[in-house]
Amino acid sequence: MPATEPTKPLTIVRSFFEAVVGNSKMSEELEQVDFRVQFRTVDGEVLYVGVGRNGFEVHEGEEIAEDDLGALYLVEASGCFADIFRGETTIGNAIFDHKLRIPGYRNKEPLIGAFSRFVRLGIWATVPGATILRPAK
Amino acid sequence: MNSTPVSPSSDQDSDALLQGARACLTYLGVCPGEQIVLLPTFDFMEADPETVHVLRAAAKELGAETTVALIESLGTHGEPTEALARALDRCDMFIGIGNKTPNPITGHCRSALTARWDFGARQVDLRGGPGVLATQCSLFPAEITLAIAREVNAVLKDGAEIRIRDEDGTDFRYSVHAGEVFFGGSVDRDTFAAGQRIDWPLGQLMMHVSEGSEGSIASRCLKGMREVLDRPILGEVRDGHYRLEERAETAEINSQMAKPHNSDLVSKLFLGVNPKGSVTEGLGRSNVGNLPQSSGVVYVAVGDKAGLISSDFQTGAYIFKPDIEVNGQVICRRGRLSALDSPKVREIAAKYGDPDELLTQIP
Repeated sequence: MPATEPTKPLTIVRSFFEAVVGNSKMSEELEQVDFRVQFRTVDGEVLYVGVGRNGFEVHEGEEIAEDDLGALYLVEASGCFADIFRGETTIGNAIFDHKLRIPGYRNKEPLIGAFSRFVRLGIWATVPGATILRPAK
Repeated sequence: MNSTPVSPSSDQDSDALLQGARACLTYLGVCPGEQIVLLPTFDFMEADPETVHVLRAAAKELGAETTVALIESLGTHGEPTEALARALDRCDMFIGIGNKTPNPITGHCRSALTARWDFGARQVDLRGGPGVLATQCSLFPAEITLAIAREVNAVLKDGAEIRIRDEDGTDFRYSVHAGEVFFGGSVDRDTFAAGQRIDWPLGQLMMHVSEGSEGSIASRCLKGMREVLDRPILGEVRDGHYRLEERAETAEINSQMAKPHNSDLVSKLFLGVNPKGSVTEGLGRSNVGNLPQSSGVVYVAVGDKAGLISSDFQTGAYIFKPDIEVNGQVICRRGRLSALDSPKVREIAAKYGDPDELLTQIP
């Protein structure tokens, strides 16, 4: 039997946002957020996600610049997107572990915190039993 | 020059402490209903319990609730207990308050960083030990400090070369990355925002130094010293790597930097922008208190940079009277920032009193 090809990280990212946007538990949250986020994998593949006032937008390619102060540019230093969007680690932990880099992060911490909160709620709503949701003890 | 001893709380002016607490919490953007966790070390509480009382009182005036947890200092990467880590995740802001052991919870440990990056908590280090809230540096209007920082920041364009020289032989250069210049919070905000970290008293512009910094640094005070040396210590920076000359004062630092798990990379550069920061008084304070905020003082940091460089050991060098040029434009002459003479800064200072007096640096 041929080996199954692993799911690409950006496919997991895209699937996560599609699931979150379509989840009724997230509807109230979705009315309040406004994010523009660029993802770039270790392999250099890029995906843009916009969630908020202008609706939901996801497409391949680069939409924003690294130094755009109103947006987040998430750069995978080593594989972590799949872990984050499967709920196995958090954005904060991935930065701390040097797996994720956000250029100019000290000026973007308010955005990082808000986006990470949104992702955590999205994991809660769409990935029951995810590692990050386990009680500490 | 020797440090000025700082007495504990016996002769502190309570009103000034409370005024300092109000100034601090106002800049920090404390709102009604917020939960603040105060984290003084045991030795701080023994030396100066009043600071915690005034912070609680000032928070109450703003409609916020405070919780106090006494802790031990945890070191650079030290983690608090799990119970406390959960509290950091849940609070709106936590304030570390150290004395003999500064920064009880640093901005380099996982618990603090995930509290900020995953939960949006704000992190503050009250720096300087007993009575620091009542210092001139702490009481100096944040609006003026911000105006000075913005004047300096305005010339730090992407790719510009910053060159720092002094009479001791310092000649250090690197290229500015405009997106990596910070003011505790953000230089363009009037207050502190979710997820950010800052030292109080206010007054340091911080620049992340990327690879490729070069030159010589002649410093009369290295991290951890409590005096200004008669003879400067020379350091060489080659492609970002820092190496100090061999001297009695540098043997331990060089030995630490040579270890594989410690970094010798220049990681950050701090520029003081508060004219009421004090080199003389700061040297006598915990974690050199209000010295790094002193306008015109440069601190070149070597070692850990959260999320980018991991190093258990950190060091750094102060340059007290630098000439600083950005793409040939002088922004500081012998430790005097040009921004202090800017019409815009003077206009803002005039709202608080005599600009000449307010913008005069104290030693």
